[in-house]
Amino acid sequence: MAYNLLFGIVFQLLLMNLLTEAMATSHNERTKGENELLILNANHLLFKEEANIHEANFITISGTIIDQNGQPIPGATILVEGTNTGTATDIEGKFTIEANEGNVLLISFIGYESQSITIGNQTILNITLTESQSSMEEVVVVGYGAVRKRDLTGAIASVDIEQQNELPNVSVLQSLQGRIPGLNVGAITQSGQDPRIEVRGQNTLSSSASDNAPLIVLDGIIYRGNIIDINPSQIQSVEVLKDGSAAAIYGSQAANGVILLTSKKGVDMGKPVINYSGQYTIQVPTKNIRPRNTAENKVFLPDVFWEQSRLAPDYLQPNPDFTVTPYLKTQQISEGYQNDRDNDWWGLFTGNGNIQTHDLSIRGRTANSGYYVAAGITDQKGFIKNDLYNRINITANFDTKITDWLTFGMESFLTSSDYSGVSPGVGTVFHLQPFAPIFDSEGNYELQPEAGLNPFLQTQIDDVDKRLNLFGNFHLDVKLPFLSGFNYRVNYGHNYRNNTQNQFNPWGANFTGSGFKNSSYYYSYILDNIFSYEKSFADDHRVSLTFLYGVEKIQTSYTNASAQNFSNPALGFYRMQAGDPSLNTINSGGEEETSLYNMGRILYGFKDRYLFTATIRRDGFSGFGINNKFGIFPSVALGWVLSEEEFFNNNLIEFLKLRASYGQTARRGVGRYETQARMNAAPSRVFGDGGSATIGQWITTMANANLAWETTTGLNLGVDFDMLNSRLFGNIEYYKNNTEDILYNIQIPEVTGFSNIATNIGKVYNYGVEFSLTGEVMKTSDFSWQSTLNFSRNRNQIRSILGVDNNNDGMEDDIVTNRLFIGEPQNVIFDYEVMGMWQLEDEVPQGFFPGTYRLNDVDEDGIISPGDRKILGYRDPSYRLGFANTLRYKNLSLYVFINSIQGGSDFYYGDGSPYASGALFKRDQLSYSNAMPFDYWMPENPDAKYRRLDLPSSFVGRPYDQRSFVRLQDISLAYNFDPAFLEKWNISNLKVNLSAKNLVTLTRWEGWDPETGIGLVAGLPVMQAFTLGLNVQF
Amino acid sequence: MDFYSPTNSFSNPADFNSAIARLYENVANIYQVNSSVARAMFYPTDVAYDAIDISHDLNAYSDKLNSVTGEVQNLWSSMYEIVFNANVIIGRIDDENVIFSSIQQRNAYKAEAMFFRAFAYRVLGIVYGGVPIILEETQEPKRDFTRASREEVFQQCIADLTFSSDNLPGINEVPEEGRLPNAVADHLLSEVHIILENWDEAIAAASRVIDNPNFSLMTERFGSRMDEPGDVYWDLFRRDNQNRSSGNREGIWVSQFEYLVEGGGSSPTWPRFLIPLYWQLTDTNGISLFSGPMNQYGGRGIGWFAPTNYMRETVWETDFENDIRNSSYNIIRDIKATNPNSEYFGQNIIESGAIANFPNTFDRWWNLIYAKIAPINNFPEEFLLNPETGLLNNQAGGMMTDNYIFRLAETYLLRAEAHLGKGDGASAASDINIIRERAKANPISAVEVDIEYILDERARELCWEELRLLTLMRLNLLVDRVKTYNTMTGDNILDHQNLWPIPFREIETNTEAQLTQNPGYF
Repeated sequence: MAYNLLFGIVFQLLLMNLLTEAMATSHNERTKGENELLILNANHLLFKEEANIHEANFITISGTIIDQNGQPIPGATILVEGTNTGTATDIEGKFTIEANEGNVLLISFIGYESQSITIGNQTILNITLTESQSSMEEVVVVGYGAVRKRDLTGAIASVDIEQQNELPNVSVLQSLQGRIPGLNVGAITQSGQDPRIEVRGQNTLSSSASDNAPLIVLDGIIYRGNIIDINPSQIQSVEVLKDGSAAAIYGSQAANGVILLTSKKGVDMGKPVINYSGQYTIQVPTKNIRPRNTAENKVFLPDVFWEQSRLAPDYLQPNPDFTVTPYLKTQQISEGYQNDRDNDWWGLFTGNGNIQTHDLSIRGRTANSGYYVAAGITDQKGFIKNDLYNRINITANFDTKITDWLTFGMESFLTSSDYSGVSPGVGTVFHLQPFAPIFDSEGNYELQPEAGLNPFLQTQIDDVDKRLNLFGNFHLDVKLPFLSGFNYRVNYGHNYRNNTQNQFNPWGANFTGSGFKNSSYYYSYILDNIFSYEKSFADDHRVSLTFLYGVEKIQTSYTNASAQNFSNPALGFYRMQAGDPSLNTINSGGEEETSLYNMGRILYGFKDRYLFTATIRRDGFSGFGINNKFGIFPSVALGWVLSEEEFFNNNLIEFLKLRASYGQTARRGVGRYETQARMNAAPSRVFGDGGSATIGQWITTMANANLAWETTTGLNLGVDFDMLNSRLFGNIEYYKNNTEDILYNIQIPEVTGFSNIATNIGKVYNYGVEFSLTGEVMKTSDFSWQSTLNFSRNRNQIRSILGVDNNNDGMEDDIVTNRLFIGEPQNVIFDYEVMGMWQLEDEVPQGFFPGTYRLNDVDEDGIISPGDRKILGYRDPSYRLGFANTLRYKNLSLYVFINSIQGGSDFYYGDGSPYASGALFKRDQLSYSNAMPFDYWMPENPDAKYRRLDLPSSFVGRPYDQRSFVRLQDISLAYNFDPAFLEKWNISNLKVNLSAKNLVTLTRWEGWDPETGIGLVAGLPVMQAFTLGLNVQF
Repeated sequence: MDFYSPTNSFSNPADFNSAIARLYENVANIYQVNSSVARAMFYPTDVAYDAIDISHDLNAYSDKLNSVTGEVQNLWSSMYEIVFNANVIIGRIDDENVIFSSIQQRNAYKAEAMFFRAFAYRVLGIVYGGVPIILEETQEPKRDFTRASREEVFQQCIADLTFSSDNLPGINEVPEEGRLPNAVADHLLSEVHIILENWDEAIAAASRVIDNPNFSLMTERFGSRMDEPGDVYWDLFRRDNQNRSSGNREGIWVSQFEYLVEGGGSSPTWPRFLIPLYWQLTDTNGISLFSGPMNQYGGRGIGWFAPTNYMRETVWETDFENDIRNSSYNIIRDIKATNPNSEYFGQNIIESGAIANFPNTFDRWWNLIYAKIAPINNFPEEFLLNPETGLLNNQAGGMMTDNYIFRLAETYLLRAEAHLGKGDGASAASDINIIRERAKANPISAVEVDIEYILDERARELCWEELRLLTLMRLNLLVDRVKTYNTMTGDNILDHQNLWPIPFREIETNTEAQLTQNPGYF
């Protein structure tokens, strides 16, 4: 209902504006240019002089702007320097503008070198723009504003998102994978899933994805929904604020960095432009670890029972009296085993998937208004059966100048996504033995082939899982006619999300039928008041001030109802009252949080040479403890453009800037009510027979009124350079982040009644180096080859935990239970070191058995005890590399991206063992389940990688493996048809492309995928994708 | 907005009632054999072993039981959770802003909470020895715990139980069935006094229960299935026969279960764990003897653990035929094949020799079936795949009934133990004979009574009810009895293992003081 209404309003506004435009007189040009500039560079902080316009002596200049290939450039901006007059090229690259003789025209277009041309007496100008390499003139969104890239003082990276549209990236985050040094994006294995993201290592002590997730800002509004709800094709640009000074404007939410997403806006291309792009993708698993078939099991199962199935003492001869069938779980399974039944459960429920996308957009700009309206549909089918995702997205962005001093704009989208369908449990399907029956004797599906519900029936469970996301951001810009350079913007953003999951399982609740209807919503609004003022004076000084005052409020609510024991299951979850009323349950709840904040920022530039930025933010959050409601987060940054100095005489280097920044950010990391002691309540006992339950209540968490944000103070040093005529450019960053008062659930003795408590503790350092280097390897009129190499290396060190030295050894104590060690990185592998295997002929010590690991007695006291554990390695990577290549030959372009994460000698270790998931670690689990082939100990295989099958030693130990890999992540070949050829069909642009993802992965990791870290367990692969894409523009 | 906060959740009697209800749930969890901790209360002891494998779970005691073992940590945590929950009530109940209808009501709630605290410390004291004694709600993280002595732990139990005994209502005054009467406190008080060898106090406490005219051993058939063939011992364990409303006067504390009611809990899954895997047996021709798990044989057992030979044979030797606890109703020693495809269909599987060459490793597939832990022929209809043959689905593993935590028969045996401790064999024998008389077993003489005999009698009367591990540990007889009677674990238990180790995690997180480890462990 709410979204219907909203969309009604959006479209009406759009329509009204178009009508108004059409009726308006066409020669009110006095301030038109300013309007367009404003819209092109949303939130811009460009320094402008008040226009000094002489309306007489205009000459009208017209012309065409083309690129190096002779293609017209639509949407390029032409500005009369020092005035507010400007225009943009139409779809054929043509423009008309009025200017005075002697004026300077500034011609610019994103991605191209700007040009300035002094008007002589010519009235026709044909200009060729060359592609910009350094793109120093680009305007970069920095949060609550935008600046020229050359004026940046913080570590802000942006990425060309356009290129990525050729690839089947369902989430925009996938487009960023490996492409920005310092932004780590993980791999995904399921449909409709966002990858894990992280900026510059792990500041906090928790490694969970949500505790390390950067803040997402969409069109200037903090966005807390799933990123997958944002259609990637509707994103114009992505910026990442990596360092403390850049991120400090977001204060207590920015310690994990900030990702700024900007959606496409209306641009003037002479007429409305319609764009369609479509893709069809086939997904194939990069690896398929298959469980054993029946013949393989007939060898494997007796091995599980080797002590019985073979004869002592050397266990090499089979025991003729042994049969494995009594150990199988059911009679049907035993019979199947004897009759060589061979069901390929895994094959039946897994296989290739596909992705289809269709995106249609219309964008345009008339004199006072611009619009971008787009619709997209994405349909994805994953590796395991019923892993389905469908997304329908509509975006409407619109802006209009209402009066000379008042501009209105809005960005909005509606996404409805559908995750319906129950996938059978990966573990269930993988572990079902091939001799377990699919059908019973009457030809119906066997209800429980082993223990759980038959996967064939699981996939038939009626499931509706639909999610709705409605996002809207509305802003008004007010300029005061008497105070030039001043702008007041009010931003009102809101987000409404609704998730519904309804399910009916006819076989649930002991086959009496069970169903539930769960519904939840999230509602938030943000109101930002942004005051900005820009001024240049005495030619050399430029100042820009920003002041922000804002409030955010979030409300959530959920209602879950469930029923079971259905008298008549015919209507499923549509008639929950058919369930036994005494078994109905209802759960509901809701939460609320509020934030209040102010921020001030000053930018000062002297002679474009010395740059200074300072910010301060004050943040209040309802979730903090009563003693710490507000925090203050300052930052300062300096830039020095060396290449502007007179002493800088270097013909090789055109641009060189040094940057230094220092800033403070924080992470809230506390749940809305985490500072308070909380209780739980639920039906506990039914006293007597035939009654109802007494509700029990109990305290679940200890209070901590002092709980506050954790603070990260970061130093960043950077160099930006551009040399050899822009054939080589890039940047180098060094950073050091010091995080304190970390929010951590620290383990405490259970004697307290609790196992852990959230506390602000410790100090963690993260430091690292990043660089990005782009080179024009080759450039002729027909052929070009550009390469970018990204590198990042992060190191992490725990400097302090509780700050106590109870064992009086002069060093602060570790907390071994939490695997926290002073002076060591987080995410250590702390375990017993495997030195080999105990063999049959050995004298095996207490707690160990032949075929279990021989562990290193580190303290040399003759026994293995927990004191013998040590740090064996680190889970985090040593360094990451990304290598992107774009090759163009005439109309053909090829993009190749190689991604690599490396562990060096000590890093990037993981547990890839078959026991990692807890399954398969002892005899009864193995005899009841299927397993993949792996190298296990047997009397005849004494040097196996993994221990004997049937049991571990009591102090276990396990081998760990490195996950280093090199992956050919993206490759895409595209062909652009000649515009001349397309003209007769009125098509301005036609491109076809053939792409592939994850084509080759080189690794020693034995399991499913090194990047996901899933080893030899029932798991999901990363998918390889082959895409055929089409993009056509009218 | 969707949670309760302690500051406003202890303001009236109903709030305290809710907090107490949770304590009942906490205790029920350690009787739920689904959990490995609850199973560890029964094996490896003299009465049971894990039948899956020699090295499965805790069978290999010396190899498996150490300071990082899950059972060691989990029992500790769940007992300290009870201590905490009880301390919250005890600490807040005297707040003058909480209005109770009477001082008796306030004290009754307090007495209930104090009983649970004593229950937890009694378990901790028996299993771990001296442990930290915490008597107040912990409100901030602490890491400086030290161990009290074993004696101090039990003295604390006595203090709490004495208050409970004085302030809990009588059995006819309890607000609801399944709630604690004062007799429960006296029963436990008797046991704790025995631990401290306060024989007279132990006898006095037990006598307060035994002499209470509202309690008596059941000697006549009663309850839901009294008209079916059976005996009174069988009746004690049928569905719905534990609460006093069924006519039962023997139960002192009955843990409540209600089928298919939210909050009704899950009844202990004894059938699943103790009934053998009979339904996978095949005959001499390799044909299945059963069409699946059967209603008449108590459900879908998986033979996870099995009674020792001591439990199956030795304890019955003197009165094998006459002791009703060993009647064919209560212990089923042979069953009929139900698969029509087998030539043994309808015949007893042992008698006919049908499983003579089945590899019944560790007696997992067949030993015997205890009717007292299974709803023989009485599973709710949802579990029946075929009501005619009695074929059950795979979920049929629960007792489906309330279960005793304390029963009057045990009170007699506790008093017998106290008499014996005091040197009064005659009184001990007379208490034991009350139990034996009801069981139609021959009486014993004073000279025959020793602690071994009492343990045998407890096995006969209380098997799968009493937490056998605690009984043996409190008598410091675990190691001896396991060595003597448990062939699976006997040569694999170490001399120091009458106590469990302090969990390593507790030692490790308790950074500001030293929690010393029990001897022999590291």
